[in-house]
Amino acid sequence: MKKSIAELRRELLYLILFLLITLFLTHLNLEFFGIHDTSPEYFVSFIAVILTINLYRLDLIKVFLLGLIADILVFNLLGSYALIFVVVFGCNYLLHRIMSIGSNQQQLILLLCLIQVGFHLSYVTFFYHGDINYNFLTYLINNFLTTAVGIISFHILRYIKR
Amino acid sequence: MAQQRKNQLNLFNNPSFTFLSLILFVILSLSLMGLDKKYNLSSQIKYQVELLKSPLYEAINAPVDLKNRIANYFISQEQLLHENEALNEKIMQLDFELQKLNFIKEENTHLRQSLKIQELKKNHIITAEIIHPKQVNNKVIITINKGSSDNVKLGSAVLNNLGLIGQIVEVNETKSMMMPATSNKFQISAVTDKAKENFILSGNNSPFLEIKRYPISGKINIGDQILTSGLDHFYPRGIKIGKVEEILPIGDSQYNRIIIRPFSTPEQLSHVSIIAK
Repeated sequence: MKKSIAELRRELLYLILFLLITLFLTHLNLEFFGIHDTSPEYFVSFIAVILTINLYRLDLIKVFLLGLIADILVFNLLGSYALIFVVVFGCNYLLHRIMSIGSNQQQLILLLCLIQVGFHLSYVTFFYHGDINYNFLTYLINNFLTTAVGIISFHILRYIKR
Repeated sequence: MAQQRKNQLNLFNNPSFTFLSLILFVILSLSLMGLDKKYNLSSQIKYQVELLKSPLYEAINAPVDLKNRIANYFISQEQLLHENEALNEKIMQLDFELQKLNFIKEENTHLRQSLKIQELKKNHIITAEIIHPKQVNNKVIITINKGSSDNVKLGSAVLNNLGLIGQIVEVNETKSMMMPATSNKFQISAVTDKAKENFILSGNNSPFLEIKRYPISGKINIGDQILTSGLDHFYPRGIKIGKVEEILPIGDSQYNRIIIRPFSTPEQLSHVSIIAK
Protein backbone atom coordinates (compact mmCIF):
# COMPACT_ATOMS: atom_id res chain seq x y z
CA MET A 1 0.00 0.00 0.00
CA LYS A 2 1.49 3.33 -1.09
CA LYS A 3 1.58 6.17 1.40
CA SER A 4 0.16 9.57 0.45
CA ILE A 5 2.41 12.65 0.41
CA ALA A 6 0.63 14.12 3.45
CA GLU A 7 1.17 10.85 5.33
CA LEU A 8 4.85 10.78 4.37
CA ARG A 9 5.29 14.38 5.53
CA ARG A 10 3.71 13.59 8.87
CA GLU A 11 5.93 10.54 9.24
CA LEU A 12 9.01 12.61 8.40
CA LEU A 13 8.07 14.99 11.19
CA TYR A 14 7.73 12.03 13.61
CA LEU A 15 11.10 10.74 12.43
CA ILE A 16 12.84 14.09 13.09
CA LEU A 17 11.16 14.44 16.49
CA PHE A 18 12.09 10.89 17.40
CA LEU A 19 15.70 11.57 16.32
CA LEU A 20 15.88 14.72 18.47
CA ILE A 21 14.44 12.91 21.51
CA THR A 22 16.96 10.10 20.98
CA LEU A 23 19.78 12.65 20.81
CA PHE A 24 18.58 14.33 24.00
CA LEU A 25 18.32 11.01 25.86
CA THR A 26 21.76 9.94 24.63
CA HIS A 27 23.26 13.06 26.20
CA LEU A 28 21.23 12.86 29.38
CA ASN A 29 23.65 10.34 30.88
CA LEU A 30 21.23 8.84 33.38
CA GLU A 31 22.56 6.23 35.77
CA PHE A 32 20.34 3.19 36.17
CA PHE A 33 20.21 0.95 39.26
CA GLY A 34 22.82 3.25 40.83
CA ILE A 35 25.53 1.68 38.65
CA HIS A 36 27.92 3.87 36.74
CA ASP A 37 28.30 3.07 32.99
CA THR A 38 24.72 1.91 32.57
CA SER A 39 23.16 3.57 29.57
CA PRO A 40 20.83 2.16 26.91
CA GLU A 41 21.89 2.27 23.26
CA TYR A 42 19.18 4.76 22.35
CA PHE A 43 20.15 4.95 18.69
CA VAL A 44 19.92 1.16 18.31
CA SER A 45 16.41 1.27 19.77
CA PHE A 46 15.64 4.21 17.46
CA ILE A 47 16.58 2.44 14.22
CA ALA A 48 14.99 -0.88 15.30
CA VAL A 49 11.68 0.84 16.09
CA ILE A 50 11.46 2.95 12.92
CA LEU A 51 12.28 -0.08 10.76
CA THR A 52 9.79 -2.29 12.59
CA ILE A 53 6.90 0.11 12.17
CA ASN A 54 8.12 1.09 8.69
CA LEU A 55 8.18 4.82 9.43
CA TYR A 56 8.75 7.10 6.43
CA ARG A 57 9.50 4.17 4.07
CA LEU A 58 13.24 4.28 4.78
CA ASP A 59 15.52 2.77 2.17
CA LEU A 60 19.18 1.83 2.37
CA ILE A 61 20.56 5.26 1.43
CA LYS A 62 18.35 7.09 3.94
CA VAL A 63 19.30 4.61 6.66
CA PHE A 64 22.99 5.04 5.85
CA LEU A 65 22.67 8.84 5.93
CA LEU A 66 20.78 8.66 9.23
CA GLY A 67 23.67 6.61 10.60
CA LEU A 68 26.20 9.23 9.46
CA ILE A 69 24.10 12.00 11.05
CA ALA A 70 23.96 10.02 14.30
CA ASP A 71 27.75 9.56 14.21
CA ILE A 72 28.33 13.29 13.84
CA LEU A 73 25.75 14.19 16.48
CA VAL A 74 27.20 11.94 19.17
CA PHE A 75 30.86 12.52 18.24
CA ASN A 76 31.41 8.92 17.15
CA LEU A 77 33.86 7.50 14.68
CA LEU A 78 32.32 8.33 11.29
CA GLY A 79 30.59 5.23 9.91
CA SER A 80 30.03 3.37 13.21
CA TYR A 81 26.31 3.99 13.47
CA ALA A 82 26.04 3.93 9.66
CA LEU A 83 27.37 0.35 9.77
CA ILE A 84 25.03 -0.63 12.61
CA PHE A 85 22.00 0.93 10.88
CA VAL A 86 22.80 -0.70 7.52
CA VAL A 87 23.27 -4.15 9.12
CA VAL A 88 20.03 -3.79 11.13
CA PHE A 89 18.30 -2.74 7.89
CA GLY A 90 19.64 -5.86 6.16
CA CYS A 91 18.47 -8.06 9.05
CA ASN A 92 15.04 -6.46 8.87
CA TYR A 93 14.84 -7.42 5.20
CA LEU A 94 16.03 -10.98 5.81
CA LEU A 95 13.63 -11.49 8.72
CA HIS A 96 10.77 -10.21 6.59
CA ARG A 97 11.75 -12.80 3.99
CA ILE A 98 11.77 -15.75 6.43
CA MET A 99 9.05 -14.69 8.89
CA SER A 100 5.48 -13.65 8.55
CA ILE A 101 5.27 -10.22 10.15
CA GLY A 102 1.85 -8.70 10.41
CA SER A 103 0.43 -8.75 13.90
CA ASN A 104 1.55 -6.68 16.87
CA GLN A 105 3.24 -9.69 18.54
CA GLN A 106 5.12 -10.59 15.36
CA GLN A 107 6.34 -7.01 15.06
CA LEU A 108 7.52 -7.13 18.68
CA ILE A 109 9.53 -10.29 17.97
CA LEU A 110 11.06 -8.59 14.92
CA LEU A 111 11.87 -5.55 17.08
CA LEU A 112 13.61 -7.71 19.71
CA CYS A 113 15.68 -9.45 17.03
CA LEU A 114 16.73 -6.13 15.46
CA ILE A 115 17.62 -4.63 18.84
CA GLN A 116 19.78 -7.64 19.71
CA VAL A 117 21.62 -7.50 16.37
CA GLY A 118 22.16 -3.73 16.68
CA PHE A 119 23.14 -3.87 20.34
CA HIS A 120 25.74 -6.60 19.90
CA LEU A 121 27.18 -4.96 16.80
CA SER A 122 27.39 -1.61 18.61
CA TYR A 123 29.12 -3.26 21.56
CA VAL A 124 31.70 -4.87 19.28
CA THR A 125 32.22 -1.66 17.29
CA PHE A 126 32.52 0.70 20.23
CA PHE A 127 34.55 -1.71 22.33
CA TYR A 128 37.01 -2.16 19.49
CA HIS A 129 37.32 1.50 18.57
CA GLY A 130 36.07 3.48 21.48
CA ASP A 131 36.31 3.86 25.18
CA ILE A 132 33.55 1.75 26.64
CA ASN A 133 34.21 -0.06 29.88
CA TYR A 134 33.46 -3.74 29.35
CA ASN A 135 31.79 -5.30 32.32
CA PHE A 136 29.41 -8.26 32.09
CA LEU A 137 26.90 -6.81 34.56
CA THR A 138 26.69 -3.43 32.79
CA TYR A 139 26.49 -5.30 29.48
CA LEU A 140 23.43 -7.23 30.71
CA ILE A 141 21.83 -4.12 32.19
CA ASN A 142 22.47 -2.08 29.03
CA ASN A 143 21.02 -4.84 26.88
CA PHE A 144 17.91 -4.98 29.07
CA LEU A 145 17.57 -1.18 29.08
CA THR A 146 18.01 -0.92 25.29
CA THR A 147 15.30 -3.55 24.80
CA ALA A 148 13.00 -1.81 27.29
CA VAL A 149 13.50 1.59 25.61
CA GLY A 150 12.81 -0.02 22.22
CA ILE A 151 9.57 -1.68 23.37
CA ILE A 152 8.30 1.51 25.05
CA SER A 153 9.15 3.65 21.98
CA PHE A 154 7.52 1.06 19.71
CA HIS A 155 4.22 1.28 21.61
CA ILE A 156 4.33 5.09 21.79
CA LEU A 157 5.10 5.50 18.08
CA ARG A 158 2.48 2.95 17.07
CA TYR A 159 -0.09 4.82 19.15
CA ILE A 160 0.90 8.21 17.66
CA LYS A 161 1.05 6.84 14.11
CA ARG A 162 -2.49 5.51 14.47
CA MET B 1 -2.39 -12.35 0.56
CA ALA B 2 1.18 -13.67 0.33
CA GLN B 3 1.57 -11.93 -3.02
CA GLN B 4 0.33 -8.65 -1.50
CA ARG B 5 2.81 -8.89 1.40
CA LYS B 6 5.65 -9.70 -0.99
CA ASN B 7 4.82 -6.55 -2.92
CA GLN B 8 5.05 -4.46 0.25
CA LEU B 9 8.42 -5.82 1.31
CA ASN B 10 10.92 -4.11 -0.91
CA LEU B 11 14.49 -3.94 0.26
CA PHE B 12 14.85 -0.63 -1.51
CA ASN B 13 12.37 1.94 -2.69
CA ASN B 14 14.32 2.01 -5.91
CA PRO B 15 13.85 -1.46 -7.45
CA SER B 16 17.10 -1.22 -9.40
CA PHE B 17 19.04 -1.69 -6.14
CA THR B 18 20.17 -5.21 -5.30
CA PHE B 19 21.47 -7.13 -2.28
CA LEU B 20 24.95 -6.23 -3.53
CA SER B 21 24.20 -2.60 -2.58
CA LEU B 22 23.77 -3.68 1.02
CA ILE B 23 27.21 -5.30 0.99
CA LEU B 24 28.65 -2.19 -0.69
CA PHE B 25 27.20 0.07 2.01
CA VAL B 26 28.66 -2.17 4.74
CA ILE B 27 32.07 -1.92 3.05
CA LEU B 28 31.61 1.85 2.65
CA SER B 29 30.82 2.21 6.38
CA LEU B 30 33.86 0.15 7.35
CA SER B 31 36.06 2.19 5.00
CA LEU B 32 34.72 5.45 6.45
CA MET B 33 35.51 4.18 9.96
CA GLY B 34 39.03 3.30 8.93
CA LEU B 35 39.61 6.60 7.14
CA ASP B 36 38.13 8.66 9.98
CA LYS B 37 40.29 6.82 12.49
CA LYS B 38 43.42 7.43 10.44
CA TYR B 39 42.85 10.91 8.99
CA ASN B 40 40.26 12.41 11.41
CA LEU B 41 38.01 13.28 8.46
CA SER B 42 35.04 14.52 10.44
CA SER B 43 36.68 16.35 13.35
CA GLN B 44 35.96 19.86 12.02
CA ILE B 45 32.30 19.19 11.29
CA LYS B 46 31.89 17.42 14.64
CA TYR B 47 33.27 20.46 16.47
CA GLN B 48 30.88 22.75 14.60
CA VAL B 49 28.01 20.45 15.59
CA GLU B 50 29.27 20.45 19.20
CA LEU B 51 28.95 24.25 19.23
CA LEU B 52 25.43 23.99 17.82
CA LYS B 53 24.61 21.53 20.58
CA SER B 54 25.39 24.09 23.33
CA PRO B 55 21.67 24.76 24.04
CA LEU B 56 21.18 21.02 24.46
CA TYR B 57 23.97 20.90 27.06
CA GLU B 58 22.46 23.90 28.81
CA ALA B 59 19.07 22.20 28.89
CA ILE B 60 20.62 19.03 30.30
CA ASN B 61 22.58 20.92 32.96
CA ALA B 62 19.69 23.22 33.90
CA PRO B 63 18.05 20.92 36.52
CA VAL B 64 21.40 20.26 38.25
CA ASP B 65 22.25 23.99 38.25
CA LEU B 66 18.82 24.85 39.61
CA LYS B 67 19.14 22.20 42.33
CA ASN B 68 22.57 23.57 43.34
CA ARG B 69 21.28 27.15 43.41
CA ILE B 70 18.32 26.20 45.57
CA ALA B 71 20.55 24.14 47.88
CA ASN B 72 22.98 27.08 48.22
CA TYR B 73 20.13 29.48 48.94
CA PHE B 74 18.69 27.38 51.75
CA ILE B 75 21.97 26.37 53.35
CA SER B 76 21.75 26.96 57.10
CA GLN B 77 23.93 29.44 58.98
CA GLU B 78 25.03 26.70 61.33
CA GLN B 79 26.28 24.63 58.41
CA LEU B 80 28.16 27.64 57.00
CA LEU B 81 29.81 28.30 60.37
CA HIS B 82 30.82 24.66 60.62
CA GLU B 83 32.24 24.74 57.10
CA ASN B 84 34.09 27.98 57.86
CA GLU B 85 35.63 26.46 60.97
CA ALA B 86 36.80 23.41 59.04
CA LEU B 87 38.31 25.62 56.32
CA ASN B 88 40.14 27.77 58.90
CA GLU B 89 41.58 24.63 60.43
CA LYS B 90 42.71 23.47 56.99
CA ILE B 91 44.32 26.87 56.27
CA MET B 92 46.32 26.59 59.50
CA GLN B 93 47.51 23.10 58.56
CA LEU B 94 48.46 24.27 55.05
CA ASP B 95 50.30 27.30 56.47
CA PHE B 96 52.37 24.96 58.59
CA GLU B 97 53.07 22.76 55.55
CA LEU B 98 53.98 25.86 53.54
CA GLN B 99 56.55 26.92 56.11
CA LYS B 100 58.20 23.51 55.81
CA LEU B 101 58.06 23.68 52.01
CA ASN B 102 59.63 27.15 51.93
CA PHE B 103 62.51 25.82 53.96
CA ILE B 104 62.90 22.81 51.63
CA LYS B 105 62.70 25.10 48.58
CA GLU B 106 65.48 27.31 49.84
CA GLU B 107 67.58 24.28 50.66
CA ASN B 108 66.89 22.86 47.21
CA THR B 109 67.88 26.12 45.48
CA HIS B 110 71.08 26.24 47.49
CA LEU B 111 71.92 22.62 46.63
CA ARG B 112 71.17 23.19 42.95
CA GLN B 113 73.48 26.19 42.93
CA SER B 114 76.29 24.31 44.64
CA LEU B 115 75.83 21.22 42.38
CA LYS B 116 75.28 23.40 39.27
CA ILE B 117 71.99 21.67 38.36
CA GLN B 118 69.58 23.53 36.08
CA GLU B 119 66.45 24.99 37.65
CA LEU B 120 63.32 22.90 36.97
CA LYS B 121 61.00 24.38 34.36
CA LYS B 122 57.97 25.91 36.04
CA ASN B 123 54.60 24.86 34.71
CA HIS B 124 51.65 27.13 34.19
CA ILE B 125 48.41 25.66 35.56
CA ILE B 126 45.04 26.37 33.95
CA THR B 127 41.86 25.57 35.87
CA ALA B 128 38.93 24.34 33.79
CA GLU B 129 35.42 23.10 34.29
CA ILE B 130 34.14 19.77 32.97
CA ILE B 131 31.10 20.23 30.74
CA HIS B 132 28.46 17.56 31.02
CA PRO B 133 27.86 14.92 29.84
CA LYS B 134 30.91 12.86 30.66
CA GLN B 135 29.56 9.73 29.07
CA VAL B 136 27.62 9.43 25.83
CA ASN B 137 26.35 5.96 24.95
CA ASN B 138 28.80 4.21 27.28
CA LYS B 139 31.69 6.10 25.72
CA VAL B 140 33.57 8.40 28.05
CA ILE B 141 33.71 11.84 26.41
CA ILE B 142 35.05 14.57 28.66
CA THR B 143 34.83 18.08 27.31
CA ILE B 144 36.31 20.99 29.26
CA ASN B 145 35.54 24.67 28.90
CA LYS B 146 39.07 25.87 28.05
CA GLY B 147 40.65 25.76 24.60
CA SER B 148 43.52 27.06 22.52
CA SER B 149 42.55 30.68 23.36
CA ASP B 150 43.37 29.83 27.02
CA ASN B 151 46.73 28.34 26.03
CA VAL B 152 45.61 24.71 26.28
CA LYS B 153 47.81 22.56 24.03
CA LEU B 154 47.39 19.12 22.53
CA GLY B 155 48.92 16.50 24.82
CA SER B 156 48.78 18.63 28.00
CA ALA B 157 48.42 16.67 31.24
CA VAL B 158 45.11 16.99 33.12
CA LEU B 159 45.13 16.57 36.90
CA ASN B 160 43.44 17.56 40.13
CA ASN B 161 44.58 17.79 43.75
CA LEU B 162 44.61 13.96 44.03
CA GLY B 163 46.70 13.26 40.96
CA LEU B 164 46.78 12.65 37.21
CA ILE B 165 43.47 12.02 35.46
CA GLY B 166 44.22 12.18 31.75
CA GLN B 167 45.54 14.00 28.72
CA ILE B 168 44.18 16.57 26.24
CA VAL B 169 43.51 14.89 22.88
CA GLU B 170 41.51 17.50 20.94
CA VAL B 171 41.73 21.27 21.17
CA ASN B 172 39.20 23.73 19.87
CA GLU B 173 39.30 27.51 20.32
CA THR B 174 37.06 27.53 23.38
CA LYS B 175 36.78 23.87 24.34
CA SER B 176 39.02 20.84 24.64
CA MET B 177 38.50 17.15 24.95
CA MET B 178 40.42 14.93 27.33
CA MET B 179 41.16 11.23 27.32
CA PRO B 180 40.92 9.65 30.77
CA ALA B 181 43.93 7.75 32.09
CA THR B 182 41.84 4.56 32.17
CA SER B 183 41.29 4.64 28.38
CA ASN B 184 42.84 1.77 26.42
CA LYS B 185 44.66 4.37 24.31
CA PHE B 186 46.46 5.86 27.31
CA GLN B 187 50.07 5.00 28.15
CA ILE B 188 52.50 6.73 30.46
CA SER B 189 56.01 6.29 31.76
CA ALA B 190 55.81 5.84 35.54
CA VAL B 191 57.89 5.11 38.60
CA THR B 192 57.18 3.78 42.12
CA ASP B 193 57.68 6.03 45.10
CA LYS B 194 59.96 3.49 46.82
CA ALA B 195 61.76 1.27 44.34
CA LYS B 196 62.41 3.98 41.72
CA GLU B 197 61.91 1.53 38.87
CA ASN B 198 60.63 2.86 35.56
CA PHE B 199 57.89 1.09 33.63
CA ILE B 200 55.05 1.78 31.18
CA LEU B 201 51.58 2.05 32.65
CA SER B 202 48.51 1.71 30.44
CA GLY B 203 44.74 1.99 30.67
CA ASN B 204 42.49 -0.90 29.69
CA ASN B 205 38.97 0.57 29.56
CA SER B 206 38.29 -0.61 33.10
CA PRO B 207 38.36 1.60 36.21
CA PHE B 208 41.99 0.47 36.72
CA LEU B 209 45.39 1.00 35.13
CA GLU B 210 47.87 -1.82 34.61
CA ILE B 211 51.48 -2.76 34.05
CA LYS B 212 51.07 -5.56 31.53
CA ARG B 213 54.38 -7.35 32.15
CA TYR B 214 56.38 -6.69 35.28
CA PRO B 215 59.29 -9.02 36.18
CA ILE B 216 58.58 -11.26 39.20
CA SER B 217 61.97 -10.23 40.58
CA GLY B 218 60.78 -6.58 40.73
CA LYS B 219 60.35 -4.77 44.02
CA ILE B 220 56.78 -3.53 43.62
CA ASN B 221 54.39 -4.25 46.50
CA ILE B 222 50.67 -3.89 47.11
CA GLY B 223 49.95 -0.37 48.39
CA ASP B 224 52.96 1.29 46.67
CA GLN B 225 52.27 4.66 45.13
CA ILE B 226 52.85 5.17 41.41
CA LEU B 227 54.09 8.54 40.14
CA THR B 228 54.90 9.99 36.72
CA SER B 229 58.56 9.52 35.84
CA GLY B 230 58.84 12.58 33.56
CA LEU B 231 60.85 10.53 31.05
CA ASP B 232 58.25 11.07 28.32
CA HIS B 233 58.67 14.88 28.51
CA PHE B 234 54.86 15.19 28.41
CA TYR B 235 54.13 15.01 32.10
CA PRO B 236 56.23 16.61 34.83
CA ARG B 237 57.96 14.17 37.17
CA GLY B 238 56.28 13.26 40.46
CA ILE B 239 52.56 13.61 39.71
CA LYS B 240 50.63 10.97 41.65
CA ILE B 241 48.81 8.42 39.47
CA GLY B 242 47.54 5.64 41.73
CA LYS B 243 48.18 2.86 44.20
CA VAL B 244 49.09 -0.79 43.52
CA GLU B 245 45.90 -2.78 44.12
CA GLU B 246 46.76 -6.30 42.95
CA ILE B 247 49.69 -8.36 41.65
CA LEU B 248 48.53 -11.14 39.34
CA PRO B 249 50.82 -13.87 37.99
CA ILE B 250 50.71 -14.45 34.20
CA GLY B 251 50.61 -18.25 33.77
CA ASP B 252 54.05 -19.84 34.14
CA SER B 253 55.91 -16.83 32.76
CA GLN B 254 58.53 -14.76 34.56
CA TYR B 255 56.18 -11.76 34.66
CA ASN B 256 53.32 -10.47 36.76
CA ARG B 257 50.44 -8.21 35.82
CA ILE B 258 50.13 -5.26 38.17
CA ILE B 259 46.73 -3.63 38.71
CA ILE B 260 46.75 0.01 39.82
CA ARG B 261 43.79 1.93 41.22
CA PRO B 262 43.93 5.58 40.11
CA PHE B 263 43.65 8.17 42.89
CA SER B 264 41.08 10.07 40.95
CA THR B 265 38.82 9.61 37.91
CA PRO B 266 37.23 12.41 35.86
CA GLU B 267 33.74 10.97 36.44
CA GLN B 268 33.96 12.14 40.07
CA LEU B 269 35.00 15.73 39.25
CA SER B 270 33.56 19.02 38.14
CA HIS B 271 36.84 20.97 37.89
CA VAL B 272 40.30 19.98 36.66
CA SER B 273 43.72 21.59 36.25
CA ILE B 274 45.69 21.52 33.00
CA ILE B 275 49.45 21.85 32.83
CA ALA B 276 50.19 24.27 29.99
CA LYS B 277 53.41 23.21 28.29
